[in-house]
Amino acid sequence: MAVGLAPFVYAVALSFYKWPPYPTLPVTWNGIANYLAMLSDSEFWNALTVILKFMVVALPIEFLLGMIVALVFADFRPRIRNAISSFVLIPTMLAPIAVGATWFLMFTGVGPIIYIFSLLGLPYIGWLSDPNYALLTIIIADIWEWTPFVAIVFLSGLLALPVEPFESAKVDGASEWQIFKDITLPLLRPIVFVVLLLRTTDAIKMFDIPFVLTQGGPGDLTESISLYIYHVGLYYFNPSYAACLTMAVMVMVTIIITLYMRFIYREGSSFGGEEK
Amino acid sequence: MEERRNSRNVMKKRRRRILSSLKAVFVILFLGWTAFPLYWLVITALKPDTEIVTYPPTLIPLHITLIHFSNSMWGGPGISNAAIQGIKASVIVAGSSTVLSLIIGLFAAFSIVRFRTGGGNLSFWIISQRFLPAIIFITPLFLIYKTLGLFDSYQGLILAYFLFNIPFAVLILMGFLQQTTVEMEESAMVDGCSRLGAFLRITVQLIIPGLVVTGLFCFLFAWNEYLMAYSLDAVHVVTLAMIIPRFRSAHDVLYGEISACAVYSVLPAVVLALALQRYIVRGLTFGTLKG
Repeated sequence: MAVGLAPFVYAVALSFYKWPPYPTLPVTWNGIANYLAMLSDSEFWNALTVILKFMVVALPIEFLLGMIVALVFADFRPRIRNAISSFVLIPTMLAPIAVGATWFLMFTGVGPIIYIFSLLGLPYIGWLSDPNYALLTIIIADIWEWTPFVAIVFLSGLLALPVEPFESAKVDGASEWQIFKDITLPLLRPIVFVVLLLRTTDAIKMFDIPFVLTQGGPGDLTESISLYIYHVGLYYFNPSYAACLTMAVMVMVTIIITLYMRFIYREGSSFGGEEK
Repeated sequence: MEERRNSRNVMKKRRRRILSSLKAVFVILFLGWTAFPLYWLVITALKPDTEIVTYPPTLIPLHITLIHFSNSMWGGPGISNAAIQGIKASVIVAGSSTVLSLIIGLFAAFSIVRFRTGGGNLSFWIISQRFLPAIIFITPLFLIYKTLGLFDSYQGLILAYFLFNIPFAVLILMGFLQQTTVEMEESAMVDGCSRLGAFLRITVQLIIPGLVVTGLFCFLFAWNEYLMAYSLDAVHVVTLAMIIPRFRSAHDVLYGEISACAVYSVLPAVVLALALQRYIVRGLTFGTLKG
């Protein structure tokens, strides 16, 4: 565990120094100047906006679609259900870089999507280079990759629910919607929180798909925070500023995790398996 | 009265029938949505170059060739990247980091579960480490590796993946260990086993499925990972995932080779998805949900 801590401690220290433009010059103390620069760095705020836009669109679709898929699959006979579930999960198991490559083929000029649009009489869209649609391609690829995951986790949650409340609700004459809203959803809440936590932190991590699909462009419209830190740290080689950006992400993720954890523990799920 | 109830029943039946056909349509659409990009990936790899760039694209390939599979695997005219090198590097890196994570993870999980090492906060800390974006470790690791001479080496990447996999391995193995009881170990100790012997002979035997699942997920993570490999390696160690984007440069895109190489990288994942079905939920949620 201590080995894992070393890069982290190094990053904390680094964020207070100024990295020299030439390797022959010494590294100098910079105080909180990096942090002040970050606050007025428009590219940093842009990267945060990109992630936020991405989450606001992609996550609700993934959760809604995933829930519908889970509810539909839950009615199937176990053998069919297992077969379909394993097939549907393939996108989630793929290398994100391969997912990016796949959707690059789908959206490219000679790919099927532009062709299908022209068949339907819809206007031509240069998906990957159009400022209005570039982020959408990443969202679509992400929905393709992660909806199955959300669905299968919900499905396993649905199948583990106790039967009694549903039976008594049916006896009382509740409609299917009422049963879903008043019994299924509240019982599934801990699982929804876990998935939300995983998906939120994954969204902040996002790197591979934009890297292959759009390379952050056009301009910086699809530059995620990971992509930006990568550019600053290793491409423009300003490691101390990258470390400072890293601290910002770290604080954000920690806040998110703490908030979710509080909810999850309160719901009494066996997260981390401590109460057992 | 009787008639009204009948018509209500008919309506109910009809609604149910509409609902179930809607469900069928939805399932078919969803399966199609999942399958089509994969299908497109495979047929792009199989089409000859001229057919890949024709417009309108052919939904069913007119000609089939294996040239892209062999070019991307062994290298070919104008293609310097060979997937075979990537597969070799990926197997070495993923394999070693998995073995390392399993061994250390097993003992760490055992000590947390049986002796409550670190109390409640340690497992929280382990979890939160896994949620942090990899990019946080990249810049410091890059500089540390440059100084230590670990940059672009197998040891460096194996260590990086180990650092990333170990929290996951500990968490999943903790879940499996919690299902075993301390009494069995104690009875083995009464029969003359040492504490370690009891653990290795009794408990480890019981959680072999857990070790298999953990190992496969660790392996898959290292196999699929891109950002760390790309940042910490350049020439000596080139994993399979690193090769895929290399078939696309600023002025040229080798669609066929990209696809063929992506198919290579995808195969283990597909096999695992089908084989691991029972444990997939547990693996994907870091053991937080038992599935």
